[in-house]
Amino acid sequence: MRTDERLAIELPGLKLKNPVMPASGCFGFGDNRYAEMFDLNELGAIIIKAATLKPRIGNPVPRIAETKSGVLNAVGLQNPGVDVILKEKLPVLHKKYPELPIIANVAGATQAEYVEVAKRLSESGMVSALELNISCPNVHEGGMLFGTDPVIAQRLTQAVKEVSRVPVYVKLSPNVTDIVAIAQAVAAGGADGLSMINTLLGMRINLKTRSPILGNKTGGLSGPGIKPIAVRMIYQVSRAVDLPIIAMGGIETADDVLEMYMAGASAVAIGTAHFNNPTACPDLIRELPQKMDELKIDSLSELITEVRGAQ
Amino acid sequence: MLTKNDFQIIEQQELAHDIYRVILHGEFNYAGVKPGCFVMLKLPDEAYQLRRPLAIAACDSVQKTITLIYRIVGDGMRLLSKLAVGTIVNILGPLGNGFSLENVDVGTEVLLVGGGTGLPPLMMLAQVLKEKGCRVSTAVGFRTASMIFGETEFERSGQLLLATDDGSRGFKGNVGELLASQTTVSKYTNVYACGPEGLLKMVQTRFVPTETAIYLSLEGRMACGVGACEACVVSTGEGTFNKCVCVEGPVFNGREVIL
Ligand SMILES: Cc1cc2nc3c(=O)[nH]c(=O)nc-3n(C[C@H](O)[C@H](O)[C@H](O)COP(=O)(O)OP(=O)(O)OC[C@H]3O[C@@H](n4cnc5c(N)ncnc54)[C@H](O)[C@@H]3O)c2cc1C
Ligand SMILES: Cc1cc2nc3c(=O)[nH]c(=O)nc-3n(C[C@H](O)[C@H](O)[C@H](O)COP(=O)(O)O)c2cc1C
Ligand code: FES
Repeated sequence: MRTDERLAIELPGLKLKNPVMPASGCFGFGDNRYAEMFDLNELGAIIIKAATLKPRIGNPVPRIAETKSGVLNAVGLQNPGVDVILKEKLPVLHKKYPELPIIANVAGATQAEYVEVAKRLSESGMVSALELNISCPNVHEGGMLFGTDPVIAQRLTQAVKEVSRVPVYVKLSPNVTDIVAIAQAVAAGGADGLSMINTLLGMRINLKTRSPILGNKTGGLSGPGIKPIAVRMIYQVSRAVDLPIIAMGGIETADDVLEMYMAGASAVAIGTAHFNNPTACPDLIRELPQKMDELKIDSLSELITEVRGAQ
Repeated sequence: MLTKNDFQIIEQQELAHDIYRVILHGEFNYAGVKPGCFVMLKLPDEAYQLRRPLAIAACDSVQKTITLIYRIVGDGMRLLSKLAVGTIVNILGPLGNGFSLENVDVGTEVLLVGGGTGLPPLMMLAQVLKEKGCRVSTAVGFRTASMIFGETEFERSGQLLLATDDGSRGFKGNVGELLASQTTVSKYTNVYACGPEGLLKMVQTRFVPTETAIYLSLEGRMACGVGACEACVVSTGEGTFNKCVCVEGPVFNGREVIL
């Protein structure tokens, strides 16, 4: 695919030919059949599935439930653990797509666990940046707890920054009253960027069994239904904190991407949209320049300056 | 090769109470289709964020058609049943491993066990096994006579044993009870089953102590269908969810999979 320079952006640790990347948990480690449908080299970057210190078996099934214009998931950070990821998953991905920037999503139950996983992933030489997941609503210990208290979030960010050899993006939870306070706290902790938003805590009930549909009872809501929340939060945070933002939450079209930029984003990640459209990312990359022409946008980096410079 | 292509509905028919058959015309990797493979159908309404997994009941690589048979379960299948001939729907596929046909040959005794919407993949399997010269017996269960479908297809491939829960047709009871009532028990080389969990467990209980190879086709709540999201997991080892139904299944060795 021809690289369109108008889509190129530079962020801490990331020199991207375009701003589009699959979101964590919706694209595995690139080791799935989506890779049969397009060349992953077309992507701006890839955010891989959460890594924890020990393997996690995840939550009981059902792990997925549909809602109008959204999806609830409670996968529960199932992953083979950082050792296997470093030994098996990352090398395969990195070798197959040497030019593709990899962002590793880091999760944990304790601060020490986050720090250890972050250290090892960042030392691997295979990842360009870390995404610190302090916002998973589907685990009972750690996860979202780290993302709902500014003091804990700041301390964790600081501790991870001390050991990480690559830039650290902190992934924020929308399940808070004041997301700006959390964003300011992780900025004070030394974060290089932000990722937002993770899923919103939700639930659905099966009328026949009269009990929750998901095995975990609650799950995280994603998809187009949450886009206005993401836009609002990115708008608020980008005006209060001087860090680049990777935007996610219901992005499906080039219009959605540009809306995120106008709210204050610098790049975008795509999750739920893959399920209906497995080639959502390359489709967006193709559609963006045309949409930019229509809206008289010369380049994405200029758009970022225009939006964020005007703060 | 996996594709997401537009298919056109060329036939839509109610086969039995709440059971429909839709025939779709379009391009995809027909050579890669095995009995037991499935597709993920995108509903033509933006409110639905998840494609629907449906087994391939028949496929014709010359006419370029696939046949899906589905029961109205919820809003998605109801919407599908209302789509008129000529409507375009998007199909992701072919997906899944399909049933193993490795150890079958002319004269091999095989048993197919199915219930309700577990039958569509067995219909294609029955035909393929018959073409290979196997001796095919099929035991199927329905809730009631008005929901019966697939009779002609299974009878064409061999012997058909039929049960209804309410006894309105055939044996009164479930398929497990039907099999237990058989006085002459054949030595099957393979048993293939697809249907509700209770039926699959029954097949495990009945055949694990025997020499018969057991192939169970599972259903799982799916999002991606391609092994990317880990929504559809099952376990083949205590304390794990180590397999994805969508890529490592939907057919599993009945001696390994934990239901
Ligand atoms: C590999 C595979 C093959 C299948 N083959 C067939 C078939 O040939 N014929 C047939 O009638 N049905 C089949 N099913 C079940 C079929 O996918 C569901 O009946 C259908 O998705 C229900 O959609 P709905 O919108 O009508 O129901 P709703 O209950 O409104 O659906 C809500 C959500 O739950 C999911 N869901 C609901 N029931 C099931 C189920 N039993 N299995 C998996 N997901 C479910 C839906 O996909 C959707 O995401 C198959 C399932 C799998 C996994
Ligand atoms: C099935 C599924 C699994 C997810 N797993 C993770 C995960 O492991 N780590 C993480 O930080 N976010 C995870 N997420 C959240 C997404 O990365 C993303 O933040 C969220 O879904 C919003 O984007 P979307 O609306 O485009 O899906 C997951 C989302 C889904 C739907
Ligand atoms: S449905 Fe996503 S891994 Fe099977």
